[in-house]
Amino acid sequence: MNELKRALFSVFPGDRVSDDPAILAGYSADSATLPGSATAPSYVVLPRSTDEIVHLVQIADRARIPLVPMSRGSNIAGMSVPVQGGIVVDCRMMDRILDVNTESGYALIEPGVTLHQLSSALLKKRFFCHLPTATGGSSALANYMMRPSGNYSARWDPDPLLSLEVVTPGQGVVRTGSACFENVGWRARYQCLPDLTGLFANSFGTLGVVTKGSVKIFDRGETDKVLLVTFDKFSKAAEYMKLIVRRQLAESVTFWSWGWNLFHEMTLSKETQIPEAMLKEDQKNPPPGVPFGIASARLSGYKDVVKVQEERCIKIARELGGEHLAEDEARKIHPGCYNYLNSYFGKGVHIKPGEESQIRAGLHLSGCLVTVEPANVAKLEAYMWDLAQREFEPPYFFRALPYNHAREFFFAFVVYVQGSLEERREYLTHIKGIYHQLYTDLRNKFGAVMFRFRKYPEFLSYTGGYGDLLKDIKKSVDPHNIMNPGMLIF
Amino acid sequence: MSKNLKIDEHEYTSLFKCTRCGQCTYGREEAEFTSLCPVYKKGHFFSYSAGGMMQIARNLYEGKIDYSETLKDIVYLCTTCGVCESNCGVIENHLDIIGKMRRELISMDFPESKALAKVVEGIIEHKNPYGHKQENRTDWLGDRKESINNKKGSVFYYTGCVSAYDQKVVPQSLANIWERLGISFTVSDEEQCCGGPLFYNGYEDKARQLAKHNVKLIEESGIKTVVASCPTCAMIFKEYYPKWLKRDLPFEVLHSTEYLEKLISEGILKPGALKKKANVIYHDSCHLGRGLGLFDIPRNLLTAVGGVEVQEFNLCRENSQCCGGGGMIPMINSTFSFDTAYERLDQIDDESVDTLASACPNCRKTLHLAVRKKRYKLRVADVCELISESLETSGDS
Repeated sequence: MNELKRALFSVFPGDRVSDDPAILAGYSADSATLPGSATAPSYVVLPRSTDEIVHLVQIADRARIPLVPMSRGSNIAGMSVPVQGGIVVDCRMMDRILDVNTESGYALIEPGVTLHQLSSALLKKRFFCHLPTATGGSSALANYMMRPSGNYSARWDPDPLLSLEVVTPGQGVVRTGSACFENVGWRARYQCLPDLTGLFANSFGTLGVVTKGSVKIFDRGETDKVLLVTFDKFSKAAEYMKLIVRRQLAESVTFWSWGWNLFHEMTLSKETQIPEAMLKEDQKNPPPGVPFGIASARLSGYKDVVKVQEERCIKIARELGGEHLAEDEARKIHPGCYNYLNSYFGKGVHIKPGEESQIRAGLHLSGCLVTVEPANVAKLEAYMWDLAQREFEPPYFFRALPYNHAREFFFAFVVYVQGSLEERREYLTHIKGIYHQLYTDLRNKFGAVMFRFRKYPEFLSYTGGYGDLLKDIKKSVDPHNIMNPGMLIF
Repeated sequence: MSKNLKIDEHEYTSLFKCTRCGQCTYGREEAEFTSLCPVYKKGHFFSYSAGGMMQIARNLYEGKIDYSETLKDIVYLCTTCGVCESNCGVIENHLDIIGKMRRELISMDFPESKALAKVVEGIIEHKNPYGHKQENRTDWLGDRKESINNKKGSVFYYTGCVSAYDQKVVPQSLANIWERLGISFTVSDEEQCCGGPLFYNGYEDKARQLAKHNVKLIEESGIKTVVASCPTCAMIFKEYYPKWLKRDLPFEVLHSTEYLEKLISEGILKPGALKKKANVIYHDSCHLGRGLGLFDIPRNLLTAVGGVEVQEFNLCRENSQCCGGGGMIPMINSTFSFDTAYERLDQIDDESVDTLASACPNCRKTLHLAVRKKRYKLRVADVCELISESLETSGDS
């Protein structure tokens, strides 16, 4: 047994550490890994505590072996695939909700806590958490660390992070936010010092292993309601979104394009095949009788206030050409959407977890979340449709949704690869190649920039001193570059 | 590529759709994110989930790993409960891929491989997984031998191996009901295994031969209604035979519970009351529930029996947890099978429950053995048994 193995087995019992190729194979790829490109780690460990991770980081740093943190593993962008080998730190067993502090409005959670687990625990206290569109089985903390999609709590702040505990190779255990002080607690993002929580956000495991964190939680109020409005034009829907959130009428609103809504309809059926209409060549226009999209707004608070907010939202929607979809009508005409959106925005539960992000039988390519000037969001949407039509072979499925006052925009492609393996590989390689140009165009043409990093090697060079500072910080925090090397910018 | 696993390119490309979301291990709706997969619960590493096994298959295909003791440990724990296929949004053939890995392992020098090889040989040679003689397949009939190849039968009863050789009380109960109702049924002494166990171990080619035989047998009888007590048999007939044989079956296949409900709805069967009241908890068989989507029918039958109070597991219907009896696990890893069964039994939190009912002879067998080993005071019975007993107390049927 080599020294590294001996050291790992001295920290972890045999059923929580493995160097067996069969076990390691499970960690070698996600859906972003091209055929033939799976890369297994040398070890995988299942830690249960911060102490174990402290020992692990020391061992890895001493051995100069990469550490790849993984919270629950759900990913479509290769973020926790050990491209340079090393040790995968699978945190799925660190799944305790350590505290729910309704007074201060935070929950203290470990990285293995799923969104569903947190959401369910909070529902019992009539609270809710930020709920991105990631699958319910995904890690809440990992999603929050990556600037979550969705805007469940846009009225307050879409960034749910407060304080963190991180184990770094350079400094050992670091607590950020209010938790850096003994006996102060986990309630604040920063106090009298610079915000180090933000440093670790979006770092994708390249600066340390996050072992716990406090996240914002919100009172559900006396009542909550999901208000649905259909629009036939994206630009009008975006305008509606800006207005109702800005005017404090809704705490969040998302606009779901028609293909996605057709998919929501599928969630109520046993049908496994995607309806042809959803994959039709002209993805810019919905099939006859199907609205271009549905805006779902979440309203909550005192009953009488919510009633007025609802009336106002409907009035604004009508002024912009939208149609209010009353509950009975929605249940009748769009039962799947009604069910899904009420479950998601009402109960905080994805009714068929994961399916919405793995449209059946297709290959879900890396999605992208961008921040954009609201004035540009309609132009950006049009550009994306054109790009999809130009680059993708039918059948494919494009979906886009704006949220957070229409300042943020999510798009994703699902392709249905066909033909021989070689043809498929060529096609997928081609598709991966378009992302580089896409990111450049987004920045240059629309002033839009990714807020969840995708592999883009030149990215840091566009950021001036910011990138240089980050590199210096990285040297201090992780002097031997063992943390998820090959990922992000380091 | 295809170095260590015989799958085609289409199957291979389906593997890299896995996003590792873990949904293959979870239940739905009210049981969301409760782990149901017995393998994953045992191993904890992602590799023990169906998604993990797909990554293993991918690495085998790419020649990056070879078969090993650990790989065998993972793959031979699968009970074919189908939680993965039922809940995954992108891969639809986990069990098929797992079966193909199992087949590759069969020729290797592992105790489980040898045990499984014996089962497979038993089916190929004797047409049942136990290696019993074909001539004993109809022993369960006792003095009802006139039903063998009965030309006047209106129903063809496909007994299935577990019922025919082991859980004889299940077919006997159904025969009692038929007798009581004056319904003439037919059993064939040439019936062979449905092929399910072969399919789940990668031998679809051999399973297809059994399918051909069984379909020919039934076709020649001219009977248009086939009843099976075993959900796996019923599922294999309904879902797989048409695919394997590339044609629709010339007869209707019903699980025994479907058939009995039909008799009730036609006013032919009127269940009576049990002699002694029973507090019954119903266990959904994986292949009857997730496989065939039959959730309400067995419950309707139970509630139709007088004196039966029906309870539910918290994990029920689509979210039911396997009893540990599937995937030939009791024959290759009885410890794991028992552990899984104990876990299911421990999910009965109502102490007043005195009967555990299922509508699957294999579940009945597995749970009954576990109850006996734990010395629990709990009766394990098939739904048909309870109906049959209820008829004994009623004046008419």
